[in-house]
Amino acid sequence: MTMTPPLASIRERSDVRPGTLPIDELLEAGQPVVLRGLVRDWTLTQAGQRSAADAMACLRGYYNQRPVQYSYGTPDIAGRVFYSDDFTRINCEVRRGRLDELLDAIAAHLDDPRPPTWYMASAHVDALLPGFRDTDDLDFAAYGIDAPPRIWIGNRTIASAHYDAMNNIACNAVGRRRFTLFPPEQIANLYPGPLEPTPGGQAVSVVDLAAPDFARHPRFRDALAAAQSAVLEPGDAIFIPNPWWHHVEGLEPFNVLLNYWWSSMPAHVPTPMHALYHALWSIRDRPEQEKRAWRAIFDYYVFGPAEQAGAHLPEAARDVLGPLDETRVRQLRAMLINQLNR
Amino acid sequence: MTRYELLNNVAHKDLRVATRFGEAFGDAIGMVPAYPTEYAELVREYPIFFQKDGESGEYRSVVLLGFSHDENLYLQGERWNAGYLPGHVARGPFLIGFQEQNIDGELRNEAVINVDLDHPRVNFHEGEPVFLPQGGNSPYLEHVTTVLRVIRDGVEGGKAMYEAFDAMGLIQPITLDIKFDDEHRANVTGLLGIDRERLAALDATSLHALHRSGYLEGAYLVMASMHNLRRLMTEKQRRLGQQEAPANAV
Repeated sequence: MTMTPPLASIRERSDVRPGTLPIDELLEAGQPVVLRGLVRDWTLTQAGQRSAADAMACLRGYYNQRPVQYSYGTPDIAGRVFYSDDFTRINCEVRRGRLDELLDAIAAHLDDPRPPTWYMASAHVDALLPGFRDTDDLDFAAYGIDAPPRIWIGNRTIASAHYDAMNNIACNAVGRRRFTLFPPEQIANLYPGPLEPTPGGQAVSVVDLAAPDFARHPRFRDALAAAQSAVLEPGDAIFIPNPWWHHVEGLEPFNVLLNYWWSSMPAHVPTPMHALYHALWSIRDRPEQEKRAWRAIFDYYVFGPAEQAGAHLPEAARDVLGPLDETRVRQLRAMLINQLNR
Repeated sequence: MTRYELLNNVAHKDLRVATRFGEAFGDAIGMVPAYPTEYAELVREYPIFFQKDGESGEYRSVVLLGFSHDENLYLQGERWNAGYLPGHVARGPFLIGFQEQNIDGELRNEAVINVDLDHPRVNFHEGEPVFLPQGGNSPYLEHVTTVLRVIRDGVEGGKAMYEAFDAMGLIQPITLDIKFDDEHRANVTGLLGIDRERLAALDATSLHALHRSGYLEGAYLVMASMHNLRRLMTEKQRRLGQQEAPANAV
């Protein structure tokens, strides 16, 4: 057993309520914050405080019987939704069924010390549980933000560290969850896995947080030194800034999380992942001297101040070097589609 | 035999599709499925009918190409003598498939393009390339995608239209009993069409409902397409005349 020092704690506050989200303040600070008790008054949270069965009954009451997709893993994966040994497959089976069946399966193994893994990740609340948000919701609409919640239902699941290209408030309604967060700059120390396939849509750290192999992943010590961690009790929430890495563990036999993702950009601005793929393709394998040149070019046009490249030009001549409104973006999209279709 | 694969620009990078016509490509066929989304094009050149599936009881549209199951009067050598090619033919070896995909946390049936690798038009040396040299979509594939979309929309929208027509008793059998000359005649059964008199007798409410759903236009296009039977008969008579010309000359 390798000893590792205890992780730093995530900053906490307990003054935030569902109707008074300090969105701008959170984004401005750009640091993770635990929001204790944010959703303690939710109907689902209250039901879960009574029992897992009550929480399940609450969910069943809203369920519209639409099919769901979830992961099933054999007991030997011990909840870690990850890869096969050769990283070509996910170690879980994707199953299609009904939410009732999933809840029944989890309920039947509540006392099982080695249960199979059941995990429904990131399902749209509105698509499965109409009416749920009438009582249990965060008021993002008050800020003009469209952030439809997702629901995550499972037993003792482990989602390895990954980032989502969105801001995130995750609300732990039922059970307990441990969040371990790493700043974006730690990427190299986290040893990210393949971009495709992935256990949950984003590349995950291949290091086993529960038992890191420091011989194979020595830089992971540095990642741990920069990590922050917190356990969310029922009703607690956490703000995860975009794109912080987060490792998430369900700690009880039944855990339910709802999360709200939102972008700081308007809908016509796509995820930087497209640009990343394109850059892998067009830049990565160039000679070192060319790569250095392109780094300078990108610094100038992209990573420096947004106005820099257009500032010395007449406004009418700035084109894509000026502000990108929806119309300009349409033209940009058409140009890229056309240029890529070779 | 058919062998469908999900079309992709790696496995099928050198695939080509012959776009000329002929019996070898299965074009000697007297009838092909048609879709309400292409009525406006079809009405200029083809007679449109309905058919009812004996088992499922579902209706579909067809266009008549000839007066027997293997007679295509639009086919002339390697040419298809019409300005508009029915989508069913224009789609070539391609077919819409549906794949259940988890898109952004929601299970959806997404339309994908399948290709029948055993289709007689599929080859590696002649006709239109499916992909551009570096893997982009060729203009031909873009065209096929549009055609497949028309077909998909027609299948989806058509069901409700046929149901509306059926509920109002507008769909009635049509028997074609045509005499080309003293020796040749054709009798085509199993076709259905719009009953003009019943349509004219509809009350204002029904008519308004048909109009608002856009189905009224469909009904009129199907009726209007009947004038294309004359075009088929003329072509049939021309071909009969050509056959008999040498005999008369003796």
